[in-house]
Amino acid sequence: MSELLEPGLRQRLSGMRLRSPRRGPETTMQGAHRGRRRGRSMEFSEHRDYVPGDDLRHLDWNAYARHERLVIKEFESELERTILVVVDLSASMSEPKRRLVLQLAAAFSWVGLLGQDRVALATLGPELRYHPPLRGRASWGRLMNWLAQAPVGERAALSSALPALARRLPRSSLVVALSDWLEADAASGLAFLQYRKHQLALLQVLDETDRDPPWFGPLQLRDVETGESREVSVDAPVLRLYAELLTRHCDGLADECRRRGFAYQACAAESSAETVLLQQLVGAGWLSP
Amino acid sequence: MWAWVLPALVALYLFRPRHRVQTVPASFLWRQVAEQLSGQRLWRRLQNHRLLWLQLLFATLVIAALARPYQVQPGNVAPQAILLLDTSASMAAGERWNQARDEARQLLTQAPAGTEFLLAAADQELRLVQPFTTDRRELLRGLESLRPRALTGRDELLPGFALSLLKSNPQAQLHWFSDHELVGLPQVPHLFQGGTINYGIESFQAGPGHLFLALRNYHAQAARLEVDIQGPNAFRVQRSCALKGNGRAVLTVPIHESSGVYEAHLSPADDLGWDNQAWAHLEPEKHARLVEHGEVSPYLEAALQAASGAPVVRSSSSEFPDAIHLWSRLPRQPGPGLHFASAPPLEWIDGSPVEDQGPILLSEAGRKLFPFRGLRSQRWGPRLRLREGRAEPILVSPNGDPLLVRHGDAWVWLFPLEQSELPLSPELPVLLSALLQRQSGETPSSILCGNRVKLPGPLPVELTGPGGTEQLEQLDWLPTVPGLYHLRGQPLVVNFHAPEECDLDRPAVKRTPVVSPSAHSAEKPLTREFTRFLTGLALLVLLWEFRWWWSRR
Repeated sequence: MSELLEPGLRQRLSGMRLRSPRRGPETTMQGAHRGRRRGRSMEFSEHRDYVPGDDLRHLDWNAYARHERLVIKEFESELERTILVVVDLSASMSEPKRRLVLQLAAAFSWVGLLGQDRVALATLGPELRYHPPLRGRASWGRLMNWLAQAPVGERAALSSALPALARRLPRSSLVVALSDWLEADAASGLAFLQYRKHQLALLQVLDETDRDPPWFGPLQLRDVETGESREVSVDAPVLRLYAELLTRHCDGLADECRRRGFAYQACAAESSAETVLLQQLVGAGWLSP
Repeated sequence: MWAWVLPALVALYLFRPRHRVQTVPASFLWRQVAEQLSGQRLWRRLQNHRLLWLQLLFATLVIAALARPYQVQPGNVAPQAILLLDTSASMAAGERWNQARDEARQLLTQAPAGTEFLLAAADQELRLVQPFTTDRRELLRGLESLRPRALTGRDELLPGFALSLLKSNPQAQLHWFSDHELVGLPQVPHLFQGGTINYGIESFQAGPGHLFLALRNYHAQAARLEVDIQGPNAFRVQRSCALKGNGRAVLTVPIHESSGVYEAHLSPADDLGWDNQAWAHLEPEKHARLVEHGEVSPYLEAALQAASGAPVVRSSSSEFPDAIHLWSRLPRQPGPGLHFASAPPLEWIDGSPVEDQGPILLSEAGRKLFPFRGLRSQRWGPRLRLREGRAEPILVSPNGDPLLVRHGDAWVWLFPLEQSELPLSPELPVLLSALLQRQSGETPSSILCGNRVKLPGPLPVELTGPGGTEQLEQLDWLPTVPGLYHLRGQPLVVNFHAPEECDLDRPAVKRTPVVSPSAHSAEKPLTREFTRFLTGLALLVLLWEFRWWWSRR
């Protein structure tokens, strides 16, 4: 279990928060996340000018003494959030991709639990498996044990799995989907998520074989999940065409996410989890100290 | 030259595209790739089957090279050209004639305008088809009218003809279309030597009670043949026969003494085609008996009995006008009828017998007399020498010494039959039955191609045969096509006879320096062959395939 996430990296992630892509979750329970609405909490958010009718108890007298201007202190409201980490363990996920997504899933689960979120897990493989959300730091071990025993291989259809999972979640949950997203109608499951007002952070993991296939010559290409085969004589122009189509597919996915207000990031399976988490995702705003 | 084709094809088989199985995570992308490729330009689509197209290209180049295409260089034809085509029987073998005619036609059509051509054909005689003319249409028409004939070639006629033409037309260029070169003549040879499988019916004789069929294989390759013999009264016999390379076989077929024409056909046909069929005419029997006078050679008696079917009668009298008489020694006055003797009268003999050995051959008179090509039997031992002028040699030794002679209706052997292969070979009854047939009437009922014969009059003579009906304006006739003819309703059998033409594998002719009187052909080749070019291209394609295969191993 602890092998999924190095202790050193876990230590460094302990101060991080997993940020929602667009807006806060809607719940009445007290949690560690800043809701969209300004509510009661001990944490200062910002100043704004006083308008008649504001609660005078929130006047910032120190600011008035300094600037002779009446301003009101705004506080963040703390609301509970459910995070679902979806891990694709189907046959198309090669060993490097699978290793990385498992590490990232462990990291996201750790960060979520430390941030007082409820964390649920789901895996795609021979079957769709779902672990209900757990709360608290102590639950991380249980989640990791469950994740370590998840079966791998066979076919997974994200387009049908995501809506099914979305139904189990409370509204406005955060779904972090870790996959290679190499599916013809991958984006078709996103609409339901948007309908359920969930937030989606989509991380696409591709390895070198996906990006730049090293094969050449007359080949019978067989889909590792569906078994569908096709004879293609692969040469340089064919590989260029493939790269063009892959880029188009990934750009399409990114555009769809952007359009729906979801977050999209792509990373290489060869990268280390530390690089992805601490550099790429922090830089993208997914994680914040 | 073509030996490399087989290993090349094996190499191509090894190079053939084998689609390796490769698993991919997302076949939908490759599906889109394939769909886009299928809609792309033809060259892109061809790239997907590159190895297949390369293999097809290679095979095409090889086949084209094997066809030995050539192009006549029009600029290298002299202003005057003599086209002399060999129409002897050997040119009928395989595709020789078609190739010769095609090349002559190409020369006629591609030569520069204004070139004068003379067209002639040569076999046993020389025929001028078209004198010097620039009229290509007439020349082509004349060319199309030519066909090979079932006749022996006589190359000795050609030098005189060619040199007389060249003397009058020093710039003329002689083009010789044949299966062999002309020795000692300046020429541009167009040689065609395909199709050498040759076997055939050497002789086909009908005697009372039997048909004798001699088959010969002139080629080194063994052959298995089917013989189909048909005759009057729905007679039909089919036999199988295996001939070893350069081998012979003789078949004896009993018949029910029906007179008429018998046909024999060989299958499969060989490359020559002229001698795969033969005819034999069994005329009504005229000899009632075989009369023996004294002690005669038992071999001669048996052979004559087989050939004639007549019963044997022993008598000292020669007064049997229609009988066949057998003598140990021919009397001075044999009397009427047909006579066979084991020895001549003493006054015919010149000196002591000579001891020698060798093959038994037909003389010039014998070849004209008998409707078959010849004998192959050997003899040894003593041979009587004949005074000159006593009798006409029919069978001779290789030196021309007479072995069987004819004097009127008497046939005399000059050597003991038992000291030869004749008695044990069906050649003796074949010879005797032919002789008896020959003697049955004035008009020959069985003739050989190439032998000029005198037909019975009066004129005009109408002859119906394989080529249709022709009116002869003279009684001398040279048959050129074997077959069954009818002369005034009577059957006339013509069989193939061109012994020299049967040897389709001509011995290599020593090349003599060709000195052409025309400056055009002295240095520039008349035709440009593309075989080497196509072979080189094919090798390049093979290298290209190998390189492409190597880069993708």
